[in-house]
Amino acid sequence: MLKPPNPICDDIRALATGTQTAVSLAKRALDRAAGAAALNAFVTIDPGHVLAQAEASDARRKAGTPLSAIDGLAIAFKDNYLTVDYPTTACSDARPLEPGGMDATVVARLRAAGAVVFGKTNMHEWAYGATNTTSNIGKTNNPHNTDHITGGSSGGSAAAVAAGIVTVAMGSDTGGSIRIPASACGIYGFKPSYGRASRYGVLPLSWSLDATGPIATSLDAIAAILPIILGPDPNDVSTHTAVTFQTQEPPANVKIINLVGPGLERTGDVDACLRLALGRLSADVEDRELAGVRHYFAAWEAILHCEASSYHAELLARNPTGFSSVTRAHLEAGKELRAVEVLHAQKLRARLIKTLLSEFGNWDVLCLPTLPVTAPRHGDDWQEFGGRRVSTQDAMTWFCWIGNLAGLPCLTLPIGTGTSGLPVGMMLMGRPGEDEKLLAIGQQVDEQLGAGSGTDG
Amino acid sequence: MTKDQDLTQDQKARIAATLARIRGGLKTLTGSPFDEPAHTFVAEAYYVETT
Repeated sequence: MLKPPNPICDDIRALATGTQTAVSLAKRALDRAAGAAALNAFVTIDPGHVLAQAEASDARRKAGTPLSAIDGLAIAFKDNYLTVDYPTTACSDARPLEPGGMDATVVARLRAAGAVVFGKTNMHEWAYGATNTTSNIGKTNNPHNTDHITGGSSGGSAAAVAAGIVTVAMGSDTGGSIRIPASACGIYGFKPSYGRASRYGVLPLSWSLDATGPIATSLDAIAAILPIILGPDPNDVSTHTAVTFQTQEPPANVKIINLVGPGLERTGDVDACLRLALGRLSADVEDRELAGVRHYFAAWEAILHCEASSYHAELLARNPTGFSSVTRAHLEAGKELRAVEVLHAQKLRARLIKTLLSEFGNWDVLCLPTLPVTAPRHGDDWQEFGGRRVSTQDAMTWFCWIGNLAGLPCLTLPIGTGTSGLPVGMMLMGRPGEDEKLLAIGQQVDEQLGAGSGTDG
Repeated sequence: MTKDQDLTQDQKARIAATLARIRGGLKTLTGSPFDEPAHTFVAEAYYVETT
């Protein structure tokens, strides 16, 4: 598989020891971005601004006053993160109503830690889709094979990381939009628990489902980012009780529930890859069916469309044709749902949370493939697996929405390739608020599988 | 409210399919009368002091 060069820890180490400077890393990233233009991963990059930030970082290190271990590291941001130095478009011709000239909280925290804000990445329009084929700057292409999609909606961020342009790029996740493209591009992604990382200043898709998080070349890279972005933000009420990140060791005996059964189908090669990986782990793995999966999916979809329609109501009234045809149809559907239907959806949401957290007994992590298929080819609108014929859009979110509806922390890590030669990812989901434990187990799993077997193999 | 004629046939079909799928999934909801909806936010969250 494609191996993203120079894992982040090498870059952090190189910055600390002086074998690389922020400017040399920034120049390398700019060169690689120019060489990978065919991926269409970026909306905007300002090379002069990137180098100016890097020069400032190098001056801090020279003075012995680096802001953090990541001072000088280039990080790209999905184009729904408000940034003081770049416009924010959500990759739509329906321009956001939010004022520019400010940083989202997550951007501000990473910038305060010395990160070089490298540029803004391509995304599925308004994060309202999981393929990254609907964008006003065009589709994003998978670095492993440009005939295939990256998945989305943070597809530009995943492509930028997988191509080795940056070692970390930030995404947002409402039904898998961090994990889907990370898996399809053979890298790592982490969606924190709902309410653990600030959403303030990140253009919403669905307030009660959205999360912000990193896509990166390794879980060690993610471990370097989470302490900076997790914790309370007075501007985001959902983070009121959020605590800052505290590194944990994995439990002695990890209990994994492998979710299977009707509604959770996947292709044979994806299932074989996952079972091979699970068989190599030192963990107690139990298969378990989740009844009523597609009913819970309806609840997720109802909440998604209603919240998105509410958020976009003013812009939709002002500029309905600014949205792509499909996005507008989603928004119009949300307007047609009745209040009692949304409350029914919220009742199903409560039942899913109760089922997973109480009725499944003691578990440390839930496991699924991140995707039921490997990255589809551009233009393939339907996928077939497990006796089902499913739209590519629904295939992309097939498993991931569960983590958003229940507010669980989730990560994806690469575990090998399917028959297409494209990456397969394993998704692990923890209990709400147990992000540290999930990351520790993910690192242990990754090590047992060969320390990033997906990106090295 | 959007006027129906503003939408294309494709958009109308997508909307109908989306609503049918959601309603088909939700209408099978059965359970205890004690079931309550999940709540998005907790009231205490609104008392966060801003700095």
